[in-house]
Amino acid sequence: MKEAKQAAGRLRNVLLIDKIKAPSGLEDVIKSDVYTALENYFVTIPESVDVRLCVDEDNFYDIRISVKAAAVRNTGIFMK
Amino acid sequence: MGRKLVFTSGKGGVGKTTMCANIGIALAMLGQKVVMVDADIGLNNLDVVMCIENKVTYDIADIVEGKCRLKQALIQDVDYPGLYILPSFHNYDTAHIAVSNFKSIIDTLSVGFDFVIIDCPAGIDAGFHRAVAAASEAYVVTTPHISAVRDADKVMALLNSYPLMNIGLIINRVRGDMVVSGDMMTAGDISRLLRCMPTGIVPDDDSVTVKSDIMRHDMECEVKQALMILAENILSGKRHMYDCTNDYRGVFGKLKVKLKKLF
Repeated sequence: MKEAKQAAGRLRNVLLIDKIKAPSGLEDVIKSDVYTALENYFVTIPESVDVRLCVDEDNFYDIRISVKAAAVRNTGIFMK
Repeated sequence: MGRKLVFTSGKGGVGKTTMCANIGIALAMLGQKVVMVDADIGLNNLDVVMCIENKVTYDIADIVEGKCRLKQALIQDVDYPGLYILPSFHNYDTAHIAVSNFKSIIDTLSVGFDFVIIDCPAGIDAGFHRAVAAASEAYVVTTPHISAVRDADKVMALLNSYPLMNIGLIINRVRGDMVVSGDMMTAGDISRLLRCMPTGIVPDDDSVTVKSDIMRHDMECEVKQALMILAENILSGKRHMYDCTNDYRGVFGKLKVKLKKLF
């Protein structure tokens, strides 16, 4: 790959990393809150909770959350 | 009221002082009344670039301490009577040059001049704040290197918190041969990443190493053309760009690129 393209790609990554001003540990705090909230409705697998924070090219924070659950809890909410 | 421009960069060594000096000279050549202010306290070099280091009697600190009047500290350029320089304090002791003092000096100068050009120190600490707080427009100088563009991005983010009428971008030291061969980022790449259209593009030129105040010397070189275009853009608000790759296109251009790599 030409040096210039490589440099531009590296620079794009560096600028995105610099823009993520989230304090360290924020992802862990969100994981814990997500797990607590979802546990009301699902039998979630704690180790599967994953939170990723990044900044897209339009400078928006892109928050990706993924969780696996073994079953749905019988909450009685949806019963008429 | 004159325009108050600050030239900043974040990263040191990208050519801020040289840019200030030559844009000042170019604007004076265009008939403007210009004063250049060295805001780099302690690591000042505008006097050296303008070849007036032996003429400095009073500086900014003397004005603030009341040892001289503002006019007494201004050094008039020998070639352009409408061009003046206000030298900086040579010792690194910024405590007594408060933001308000500096701003007051710049505001006073803007009454009598068309342009007040402020040479900002490198970095983003107190010196940066003092220089930017006194300006109404900012020009961020960068080179096509990752570290320089990264710092320019951070500086631009900081500048957004100041009440500036305009924030411009100047891409300095562009090697046309390396851009054509794909070894250097283009001005377009940098402009897209910083999300800012450039005000000017200036090529890398050995002539500047020989004569840092290149605009006043009778030498035919690309950089003089580019600097004049940049000065005209600053004056008129237009965006004509100097094409650094012009000499390196076509058959002979490619040959030039190959020869440059060999020597």
